[in-house]
This record gives sequence, structure tokens and C-alpha cells, in this order.
Amino acid sequence: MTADAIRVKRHERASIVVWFLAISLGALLFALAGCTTIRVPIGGTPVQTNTYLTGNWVFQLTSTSGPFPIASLGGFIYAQQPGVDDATTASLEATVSSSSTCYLGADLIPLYGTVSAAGGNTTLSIHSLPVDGQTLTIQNAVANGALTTLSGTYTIAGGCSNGAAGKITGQRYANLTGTYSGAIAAAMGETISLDLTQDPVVDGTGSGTFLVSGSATIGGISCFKTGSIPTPSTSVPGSTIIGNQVSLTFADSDGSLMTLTGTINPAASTLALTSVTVTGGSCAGSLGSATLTVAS
Amino acid sequence: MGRIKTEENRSSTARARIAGAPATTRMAPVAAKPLAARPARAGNCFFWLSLPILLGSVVLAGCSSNANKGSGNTGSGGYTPFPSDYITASGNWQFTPTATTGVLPFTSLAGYINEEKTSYGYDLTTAVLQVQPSSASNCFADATVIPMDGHTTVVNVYLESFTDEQQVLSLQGTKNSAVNQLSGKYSISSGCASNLSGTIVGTEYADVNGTFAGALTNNPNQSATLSLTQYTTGTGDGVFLLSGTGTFNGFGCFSSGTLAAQNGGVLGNTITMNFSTNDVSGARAVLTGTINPSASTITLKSFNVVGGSCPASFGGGVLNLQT
Repeated sequence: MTADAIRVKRHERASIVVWFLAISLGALLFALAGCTTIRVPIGGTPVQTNTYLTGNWVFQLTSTSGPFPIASLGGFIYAQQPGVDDATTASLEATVSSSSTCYLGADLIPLYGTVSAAGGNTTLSIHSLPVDGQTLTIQNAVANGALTTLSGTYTIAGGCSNGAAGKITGQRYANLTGTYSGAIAAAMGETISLDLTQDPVVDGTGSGTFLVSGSATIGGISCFKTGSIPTPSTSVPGSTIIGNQVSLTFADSDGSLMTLTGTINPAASTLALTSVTVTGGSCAGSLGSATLTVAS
Repeated sequence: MGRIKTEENRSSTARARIAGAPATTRMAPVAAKPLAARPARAGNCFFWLSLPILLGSVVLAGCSSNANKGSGNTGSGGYTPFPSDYITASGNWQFTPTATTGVLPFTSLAGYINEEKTSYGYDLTTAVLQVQPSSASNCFADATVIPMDGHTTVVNVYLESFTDEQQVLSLQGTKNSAVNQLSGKYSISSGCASNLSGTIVGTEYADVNGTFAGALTNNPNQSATLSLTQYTTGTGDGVFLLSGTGTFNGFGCFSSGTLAAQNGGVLGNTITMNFSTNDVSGARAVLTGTINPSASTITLKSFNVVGGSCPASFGGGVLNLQT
């Protein structure tokens, strides 16, 4: 190889290096060229996988200072993905703590912010719209590897709860979908079987709820043997789940309604009904409680 | 999937997409070919170095330009600063839509708009509006609460909703000089009501504060005097809580009542009050009605006494603000 050829090769290598640096600089400028209208902070690590926090969540709050207005929150988190600092919204229903009068009559809390993957962690950081002048911020809630739990801190600024702060832990709840069956407690031979389908996790509402559809079969009872969840309309409210709280209403062909309320476990494998009530028709009255398990 | 409508979200999404995709993938078709053809000239290094800088500058300029579109701002690169006497759009609003594409997704929207006031000409703005679902579409039948965020300029308000059963509602309204009227357009992307759009007119309703007095229409001997105070900020449902006291004549088992804040509310032009009373058996006085934009008149649609020793349903009436 001649000296000129070696020089050309060296120049080629140098040119490639410079070209690479230029490309990198260009990419940086693209990133930094975020418009002035960007709400979320610039930065963070690209979210590639395992960042999808969209779903139905329940949060438990523990106070470390100031007032303690909210005992728990439950509802719909919606995280765009994939990206950097994914724009994220949430509609969470607060369970007001027994020691507080804040958030009374104002328990729906819309929030927005980001999910990021900075530092290898999937982290949720969101703050609420003002609710009676109170702004709730959930900071650096880090998810576990399976993205089924979150752990972080919260603060509340302004209004009745100003100065509240503490720790927050979140638990994702699986979809209430499948065939759930079991016996009605304190009733001889009466059984309930429900075929339920929860809307997909991306279909949560602005109230934090997810619609549920399905049908019910009641055994050991002379009336209301079957029922189905009516399609929601302007006159008929839908059956919903929010967090771990379930509220279902089935209609019989004779016009009577059966309303079930209860809770699910995180895997949605057990539906613990605290109330089964029929209104209208010859079966009207309370049937009691029941624990239903999903068919595997 | 996602909320990619407002200018700020467009920017956010674009930024995410650029950073998420390898920059070399975007640049390689431009750079690779000449690199192979041109071995080793120092001058080329500066050319390649300058190219992405120029592209970055173009993107920066594009973003700035995009941000200015439709905002009613003037000048180069920024928003028209708010005047010193600027009035924000914060308050209790009621919107009436008119469909131009497809059917009406809802017959009205009402709730809380909160504009975070700055001096920059661009205020972050949030809203929670409740829809009155339209039977023509039924799409919002069980998704009636719509949280939104966006921004406000000197001229316009831009809002985009959180995803609501995958429906994303966008509102753009132009303010009148008194900032108590908005006129503009709405559109819905994705979900059940996708592609429905139209025009919208909004009216701001003043706070319900003061003493309101009047009689029921069907029986002038039945009257009420209510001292009411509306919260200055709304809830996550878009409602403004309302507290106060009342004195009542002609209702038999009670003569006074107390309205706890969580039992009273104003949403757009709709007002609801559920008074506890001095009836020893616990009667409650439940009043529903509407207010006019200046909140000087409460038109009661119903006056019901629930529980206690004198349950009954009475007709409506008119209560006027006492000056």
C-alpha cells in the first residue's frame, strides 16, 4: 500500500468519525429543538419496552407530614408509549380519609404528567388539575419489573389539604373478565354465575371507570334466573369497575334489576360481593353476599 | 393511539418520535452516499458537521412557527404578551354545540376552566367538563366527565381532553372582549364519536354569591331565602361547590336549613342544593334549577322535601339576588 493510499484511508476513517459525531450532534439538536410549547421536561431515556402503565390502579397513601386527606385512590391511568417522557393522564377517585373534610364532594381527581424510563426505572410523575384549589402531585413512583406495582411519594399544595405529604404505593388490577361463580352466603343452594367482560385497559373513562358487560345466571331461586347488563344509554347507567370497586347491574326480561357491589383482588380471580340486591319483580330484596371465583 | 392534537402535544410527540428513533436512520440516506464517493477532504467535514446543525435549526424554527399558528399572536417567535388588565378565562362555563359533521355527540358541555395566569401570552389551561350525552350518538352515555388540558392566548382557548373511552375531544374557542363568551369549534378523534365535529358557543356563568329570595310559583305563601357562597375553584368533576343557609316559610315541618358544601353545586347553568333542615325527623330540602349568566336569578325547577315528617314535591319558583 502506498503512502497516498494510507493517507486516503486515514482520511476516510477520520471523515467517518467526524460524520458520526456530526450525526450525533444533529440528533442532539433535534432533541433540544423541542418547541417552547412543550409542557413536559426535556430529557429522559427512550422508553422501549415494559413501560406500559396503562390500566386500572389502586393507590394507598401514608402520611408523613401535614394533613392526611386521602386514604386511597383508584382509577384509570393512560400512558402513551413508546417514547421519552410519555405524556400520561389519569382519572383517580379518592377515598377521603376519615380524619379529613378536604376533598368532600370533590373526590374525582384528574391528573397528567409523564412516564419515563430514566435510570432504567419506569417512573410515573403526575400532578392533578386543581380540585377545589388543591393540587395533588405523585412524584417518582417507580414501577416493579412486572409493572404491576408503583412506589413513590405524594404532596398536595393549595387549598384545604395544603402541605400534605407522604408515601404512595400503587397496585395494578387485572381485567374483570371471565366466568365467575360461587354460592350466596347464608342461602341454601342459591348460586351466582357471571360471565363478565371488562372493556380493554385503553378504554377507561374520564371518571376513571371501566365499563363491564356480561350476563348473570342465578341458581336455586324461583325468579330472576338470568339477566344481562344493559348497554349504557342516556337513561341507563353502565356497570363499571374503578380500582378494586365493582358495581354491576343486570336486567331481567320482566324489568326487575339485580345490583351487585363488591371488590376484586389484584389478579381479578376473586370477586367478593358485599351486596346482591334485586329491585322490582317477585324476587325483590337482598340476597346477601357471595364470593365468586373465576373459572381457570 | 394517543392524544396528539394540541400544539404542545404535537411537539411532545414529535420530540419523542425523533429521540426514540435512531437519528442515524433518518440521516443515513443523506450522508452515507456522498461519504463513500468522497474520500478524505477536510472541507467536507465542515459540510457534514453543518448539515445537521442546519436541519436542527430548521426544526427549531418550524416548531416556533407551528406554535404560533392559530394563536392570534403577532411578532416573531413569541406570543403576544397579555395586557396588564388581562382577564383570564377561568370560571364556570356552559357550551352549546352545533354539529357540522355527523350527529351531535352531546347536547351540552359544562364545567370548570382554569387558566394559570402568566404574563407571557401563553397560559397553561385545564378544564373538566361534563357532557349531556346526545341520544343521537350515545357515545358519551357512560363517559360524561371529560378532563382536558391546553393553553390560552390573548385571543383563543385551546383544550384537548384526556382519552375518554379512547375518544379525544378538542375545543378551540375565540374569546370576546369581556371574556365571558367563547365561540369556536369542536372535534372528536378516535373512539365511538370519531370524526364528529362542529361549532360551539360558550357562556361563562358568574359565581352564585349573596342572598336569594322568592316564592314558589304554585303557592306564593311558600317562600325561601337562601344565603349562598360558591367556591371560587371547581372540582375534578367540573362542579363548583356551594354552601350556605336557608330560611323557609310555608313548608310545615321545617323553617331553616344548612347547605354543606358537598351537598351543593353549580355546573354551568345548573344548580343543585340539598339542605339539611331543622325538622326533628330529618327532612331534607332538595332544590334544583338553573341560573342566568350573571347569577342574579335562580329559577327553581323543583323543590322537594325528602324524608322527615313532611315529605312532598312542590313546583318551581324564582329566587332573585337581593341587592
